[in-house]
Amino acid sequence: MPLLEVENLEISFRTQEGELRAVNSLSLEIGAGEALGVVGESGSGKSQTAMAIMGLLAPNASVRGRIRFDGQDLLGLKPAQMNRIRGAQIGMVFQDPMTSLNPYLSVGTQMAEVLVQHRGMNQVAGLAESARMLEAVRIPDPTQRLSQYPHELSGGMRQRVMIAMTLLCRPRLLIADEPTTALDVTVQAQILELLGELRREFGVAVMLITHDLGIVGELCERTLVMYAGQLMESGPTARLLSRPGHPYTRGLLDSRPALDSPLDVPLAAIPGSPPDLLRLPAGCPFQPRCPQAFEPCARRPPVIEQRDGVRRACHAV
Amino acid sequence: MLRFAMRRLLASIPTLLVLITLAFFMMRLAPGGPFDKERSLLPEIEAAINSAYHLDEPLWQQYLRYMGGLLQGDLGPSFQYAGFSVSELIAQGFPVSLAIGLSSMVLALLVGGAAGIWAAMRQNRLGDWSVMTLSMAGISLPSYVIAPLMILLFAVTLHWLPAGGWEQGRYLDMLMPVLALALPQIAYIARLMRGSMIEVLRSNFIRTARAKGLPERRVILRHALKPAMMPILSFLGPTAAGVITGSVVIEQIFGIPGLGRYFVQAAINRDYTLVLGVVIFYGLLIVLFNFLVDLLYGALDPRVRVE
Repeated sequence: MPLLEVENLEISFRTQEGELRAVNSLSLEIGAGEALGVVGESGSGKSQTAMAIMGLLAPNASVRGRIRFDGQDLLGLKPAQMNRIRGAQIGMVFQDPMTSLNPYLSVGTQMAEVLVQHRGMNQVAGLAESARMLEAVRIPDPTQRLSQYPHELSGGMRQRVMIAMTLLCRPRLLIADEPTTALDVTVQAQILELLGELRREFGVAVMLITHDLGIVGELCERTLVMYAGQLMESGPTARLLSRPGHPYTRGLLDSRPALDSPLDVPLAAIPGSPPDLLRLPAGCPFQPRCPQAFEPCARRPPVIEQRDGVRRACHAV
Repeated sequence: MLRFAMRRLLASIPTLLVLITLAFFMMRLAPGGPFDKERSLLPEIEAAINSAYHLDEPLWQQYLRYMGGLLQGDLGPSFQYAGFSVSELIAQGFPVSLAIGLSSMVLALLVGGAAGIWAAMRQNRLGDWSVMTLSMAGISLPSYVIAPLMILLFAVTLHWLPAGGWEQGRYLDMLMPVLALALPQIAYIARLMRGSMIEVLRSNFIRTARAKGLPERRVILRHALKPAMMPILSFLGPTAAGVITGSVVIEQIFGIPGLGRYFVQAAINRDYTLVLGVVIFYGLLIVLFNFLVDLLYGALDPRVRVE
């Protein structure tokens, strides 16, 4: 049984202009200790999927489908029950470490309260355990850091604190939503490396959300590509990177600059822009931008087909 | 810390000097004088009084004399209350105004703060809507409407509370004036707190707190309250200074011998020294409260802590 099982997830938001369909009939699985990369451009629904798993969607959202974690249906849980899972069994690291820590509370206070809440520890024991965890994320002088405030730490350091904080209760799943996007390139590499090490050390499953296919290649065995709230293609990362089947995956790969690409050749880009989630087209959402689109693409949505461990939604392939 | 306090205090001296000078000359620009009565006095008596209070000297000399006295902490004699110095009158009235003002500020902070948080947690729902409607009424209704209505209800109709008066600060006497004084402040603080709390609840670190599985109560009290307090703190400084120096209307209606009454009476009677004394006292309090607010900022927000 997989650790996390998302089945036919539908997320929509009531807005003044109508119903915004953020995620459509999305299914995914993450096994214990496995790392899944979720890739897509902004607005593809990847972050909202994560928020749905955490039970932290905005009040105007409605969710359908099933999210099963460790055999338990998360969507049916009461807020108090969900609080026992959040932060204890599922941890989440957010994109912007500058604003994701509370500027008014010391690092130690913010970390220890997780253990006080979920493990029933007292403050002293919580601080001691927090210091050990800061050491595990390679932060020097952990005891001294505990009394510092977020503004006294660098961006990379804050993201390490965030990661340490989510690992305190040894969660079985870590959701990282663009954990390196806001950081310097050199720091990005360090944080990714750290995530990989911690994954092995703690045996935690990882759901890595990113728009950068390169990052996924370093960390995740499997990758899922989303577009306009729908699955385009998913499968083993190496396979997707070397032989992308879906035109969208190929487009994403082609639009990445390489260090050795000649300077005078312009970067390949996918023409057009993602569809309006308030008015999704009847057929494949990628059809208007797709170089391989043909007659059925605009009329009916593609069915997800599974072949050799790869799932793909495309009429053309 | 001590140096910060000293710097702030020194920086406020020019402000106070301008305030005193402006108040001094504005009072003198007003027509009439402290001893003008319906029946004019005998010229020789008037001359004697004017020379006793140095009103016969040129204005610049009077100004210098006043400032000289001020340097020694002397606010001069009251022109209206014969035999009393201005300092004595302030010392008499201020404790009364302070007791009422401080109680109503504490009440306003507790009730208004709680109502604001409560409304913010129910944004755009019935509870929120009711609190905001009530507080709009609280801000719009002036105290000279609320206070007589309260007297009518609690004193005249129900006979629960005395209609006014002041017997050595009996709690029963304080109840209505404190409430009347607090109502608009409660309303204002509730609206301020709601707005700032809603904004704070949208921030990323609140999302983090929720992702940690903290119960809503702890998210609000531990993570959101401090940042949400900041705008209220800025409002509290000057407001508290104003409220504890006494409300003219409230003190008049409930017959309370506080500082607020002196202010208006003194201005009408052209009691030059008393007006100036109260103005200086009020100015000092505003400086002091703004200083306290700055200290509190540092205590609450580690990013603005002074070295």
